Amino acid sequence: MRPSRVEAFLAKLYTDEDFLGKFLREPEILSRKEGLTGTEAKEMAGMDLTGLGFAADSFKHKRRGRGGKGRKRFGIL
Amino acid sequence: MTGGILSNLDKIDVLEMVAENFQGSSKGRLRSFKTLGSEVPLILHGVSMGLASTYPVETKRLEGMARLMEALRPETWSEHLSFVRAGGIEIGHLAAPPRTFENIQGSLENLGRAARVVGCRPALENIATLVQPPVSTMDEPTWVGGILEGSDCPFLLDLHNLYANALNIGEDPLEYLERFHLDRVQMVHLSGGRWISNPQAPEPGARRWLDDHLHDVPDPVFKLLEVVARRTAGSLTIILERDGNYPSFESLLGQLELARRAVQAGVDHRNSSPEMAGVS
Repeated sequence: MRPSRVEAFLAKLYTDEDFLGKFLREPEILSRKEGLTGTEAKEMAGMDLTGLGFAADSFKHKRRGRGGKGRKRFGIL
Repeated sequence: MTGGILSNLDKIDVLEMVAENFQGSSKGRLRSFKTLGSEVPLILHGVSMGLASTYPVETKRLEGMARLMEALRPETWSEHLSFVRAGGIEIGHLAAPPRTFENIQGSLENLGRAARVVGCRPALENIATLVQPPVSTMDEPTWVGGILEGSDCPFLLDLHNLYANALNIGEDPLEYLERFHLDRVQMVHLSGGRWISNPQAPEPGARRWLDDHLHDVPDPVFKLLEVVARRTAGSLTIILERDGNYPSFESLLGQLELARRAVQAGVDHRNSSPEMAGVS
């Protein structure tokens, strides 16, 4: 299995604010520079940018330590 | 919270524990939880393996889960259908990968490796996502279904994740639910969330429903649970998730009671249905 370039690209978008800023300015050009195919770059440029902003904020928040630790769960049935 | 759980074990049938919180624990701590497991069944829940990926799952993480399974002897374990790292970058949380055939293939390879190292297959949980993964060639129900069919893993259906995703793509949650493999559901997660907005978003007035585990379970999610119970003939394990902003323990038990009623309503509906009862 060849690892997906798109997964690596998304991981960088979600974690690197400078990279995200560059992407929002020139999504297709940056996608091509990072090795995505022309088709992948076009799809990246057409992605849900509003959702991308929400997701990147949420991941940043999670990395700062809220959530994940001390989770307590209980169940029924 | 721990005190509330321990003093209400007569009302709680199962405990789910985040596996990563126990990695590196002392033998004494593990022994105490194993003892707890003799009073109430335990389930280990992983949050950091990144099984739904074209990148191979890290062997050390699988071996860590195997050691915990040996030490705590839970009923089973579960993980998310997400990727959490790629290209040497740790995202730090659960992310939705591009939904492609290549991803399904990579996920199946990871699940096969997980089963070999840990000793059994995990239940697989659908995740909430605030962004639709780009470069996808299929929708979420098709992608989840492809992995479930290929892996023979049980389905841990997180109904609040499903509810959030449906709202965020403008679909009716009940209709969205029907597109998943409900016949494979063995466990259910319930939690709450809230609307979030971003004034700087490219789309004016845009908002998304966030799965934050900080709020009570919304009423529509209990309705979804009723439908799942109506459609699922086998046993169901229902887990209430809460990560903070804790109400009184009585309030949490009240939500468990609402879940029990929703399940009972679904079972009653199934039993009263001639079609479901096999009478034409």
